[in-house]
Amino acid sequence: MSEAAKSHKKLMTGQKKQGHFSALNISLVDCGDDWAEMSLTPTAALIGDPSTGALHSGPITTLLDSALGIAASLALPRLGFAPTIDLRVDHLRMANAQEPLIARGEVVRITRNVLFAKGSVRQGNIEIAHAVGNFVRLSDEVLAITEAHIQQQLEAMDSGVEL
Amino acid sequence: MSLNEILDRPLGERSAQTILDKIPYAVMMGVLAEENPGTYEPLRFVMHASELHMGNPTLPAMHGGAISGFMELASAVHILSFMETARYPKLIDFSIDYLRAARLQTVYALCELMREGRNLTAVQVKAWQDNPAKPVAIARAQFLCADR
Repeated sequence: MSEAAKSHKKLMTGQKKQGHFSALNISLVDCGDDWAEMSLTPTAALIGDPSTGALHSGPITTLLDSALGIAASLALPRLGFAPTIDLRVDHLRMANAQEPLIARGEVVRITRNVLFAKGSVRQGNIEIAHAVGNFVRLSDEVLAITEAHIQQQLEAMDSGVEL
Repeated sequence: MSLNEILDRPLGERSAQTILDKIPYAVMMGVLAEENPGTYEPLRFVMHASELHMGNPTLPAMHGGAISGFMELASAVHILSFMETARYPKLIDFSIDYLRAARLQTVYALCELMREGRNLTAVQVKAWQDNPAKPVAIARAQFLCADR
């Protein structure tokens, strides 16, 4: 695993979860140089149709956006993030609200301005949805700023300071 | 009253907000319906921002997935408000374009039915924050609207 991937993993797993990741129980499972696996542990609050108990599509989209987006940020030459340009999700099957969902996102191609990614979500051995998404490759100048910011957070984690 | 009991009633007797109140994910996200919001549109959806919608904490923006989830809910409940369908529609596919960074503040959505079919229904959705002429995202969805 590259240093960048290690740093991302440390940042994602070491910090207290907040915001939408915390609301949806989304965590980073594992990642590499241009891929990421993330999990979502469903709760009753994420049900879309109470008559069937099926999970809503929204959390599935969020999980895919996150897995593809983190895969894209891992493929960058510097520590940073990659804003989503667009995302298309096909919902192959309904997901239940009991078993965890695992999404895997990977980068297909990286150009000067765009990162192309794809991925899918499984529940157990069953494929629930798949997606393609494109992400912005920020300029090296902007990435230098994000990298400095992330380094600061990592150092703060090492010294045990709450951010 | 359960969601299906609400959907068994005729169109005139179900409101978008009573439907949203029965969808756990909509309640969690804080999605609200505004009927006749003073525009040409009869129905508009609103989501007031809170910490639970936040994406990357380094920049206080709304998570793209929260915006997408909001727009998916809006498009489904829009269908249920204007079509005599008796069950929550099944999303076949959803495609979203993020046009501007969304800040952690109130977001609105308007939907338009592009095709109402016995099986397939197509919806376009636009979401914005300050200015409807500058949407933060646009999306399209294909739904399966079987009655049972």
